[in-house]
Amino acid sequence: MTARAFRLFDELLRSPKQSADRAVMGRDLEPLVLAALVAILVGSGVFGCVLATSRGGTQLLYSATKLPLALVATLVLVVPAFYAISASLGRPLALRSAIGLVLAGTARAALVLVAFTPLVWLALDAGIGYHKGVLLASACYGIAGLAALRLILHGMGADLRALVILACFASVMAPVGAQAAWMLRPFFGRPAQAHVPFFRQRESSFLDAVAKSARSSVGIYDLDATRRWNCEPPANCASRRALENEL
Amino acid sequence: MEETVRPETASAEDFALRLTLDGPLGLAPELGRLAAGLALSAFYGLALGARSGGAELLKNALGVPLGLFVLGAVMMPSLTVLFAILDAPVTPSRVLGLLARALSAVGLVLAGLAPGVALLSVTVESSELAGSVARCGFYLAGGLGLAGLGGSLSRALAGSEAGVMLKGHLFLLGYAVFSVMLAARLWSAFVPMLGGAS
Repeated sequence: MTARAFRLFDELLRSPKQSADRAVMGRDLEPLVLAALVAILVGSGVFGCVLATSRGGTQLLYSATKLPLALVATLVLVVPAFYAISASLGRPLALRSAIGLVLAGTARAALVLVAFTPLVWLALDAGIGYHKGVLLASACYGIAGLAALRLILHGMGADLRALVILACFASVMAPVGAQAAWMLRPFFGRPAQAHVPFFRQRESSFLDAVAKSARSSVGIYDLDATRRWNCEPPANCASRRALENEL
Repeated sequence: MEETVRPETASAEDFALRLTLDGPLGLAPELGRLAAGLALSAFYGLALGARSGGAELLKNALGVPLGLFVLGAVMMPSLTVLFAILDAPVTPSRVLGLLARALSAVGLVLAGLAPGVALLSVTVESSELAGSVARCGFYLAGGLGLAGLGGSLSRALAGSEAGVMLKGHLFLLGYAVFSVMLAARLWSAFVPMLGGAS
């Protein structure tokens, strides 16, 4: 069974088209689904663990648990959209095929994240700092996401219509995945923090943070934050805002 | 005759296929398809109403399919008349069938977007941003439905003269812009989340 799982991992990485065809045809789907779930749990769990090495301790366990949870929650929320979008654009899939395809894509992404763990660990260990660490992690996530989308593209037919389906699906998956991860933060943790929370108190949202940053970048500042923290924008408020929005 | 055993995946595929299949089905199946699409779109309303909860759930769940229904009711006669003026080989029953398919596809996509939009609707702090998220979902679903409708109507024009085809395509382009504006107006009128009647 372990050997079969490793063969499926190998197929996901080397032959995404084969895995995609297996999912779309509904052929021998149960082993693929099980292997995909294991890949997601282990792959993203290991990556989450590495993100938490800057804090260590309980944060390691928390991040190893929460990152797979964020991925699985995102899957559950976006698979119906993928099913509906592909049907409306003339590529209807059976629901189990849609689930299998998205699961296989996510598993491929999780395996790619495993490949990045030494790089991220080394960078954090060398002291690149919190913000650069977040950027590096986001870049790894982006590349892993592209690997997932490539597998799904194979499943949809790898033509212009498939690209349109994928673009529509990505426009749904990105904000939902980002918000799901935001709700489950922190993943990095702060070294100086005595108590490590499993969840942070709900503050703002990913989209709100992006909107505020976009406004700040063109000189439109949050007056509520200025009053709340008794600071003048942008210098003093920026550091307080970063603490509020930290991952 | 031997009965063919259908694989278990076929029923799920048939569901989405039945809602989006481009082909004449007859009046009763077309209306059934339309009703199914409208019912599915109510899930999107529930997702929007989850932000406030309570009575807003019902108001938004009713507002979304109502907006879709009124959109179809307004578009049906105008499309029929305009194709008749162009002398295009598109019958009123064909227009009804194509509209029903497009609206049911919109309903299906809205239902698919509902879980993700529910998360965003409930967790986003800013009301304006939540409204923008709702609008993006409408634009995506509406855009996909419109693309399907435009493609089907374009194929229906395929057998006509060159002049009629050209006028028909130009008309479809202009009507697409108009229908986006009309849909935006109707949903902002009927969906409380977008400032509609509460």
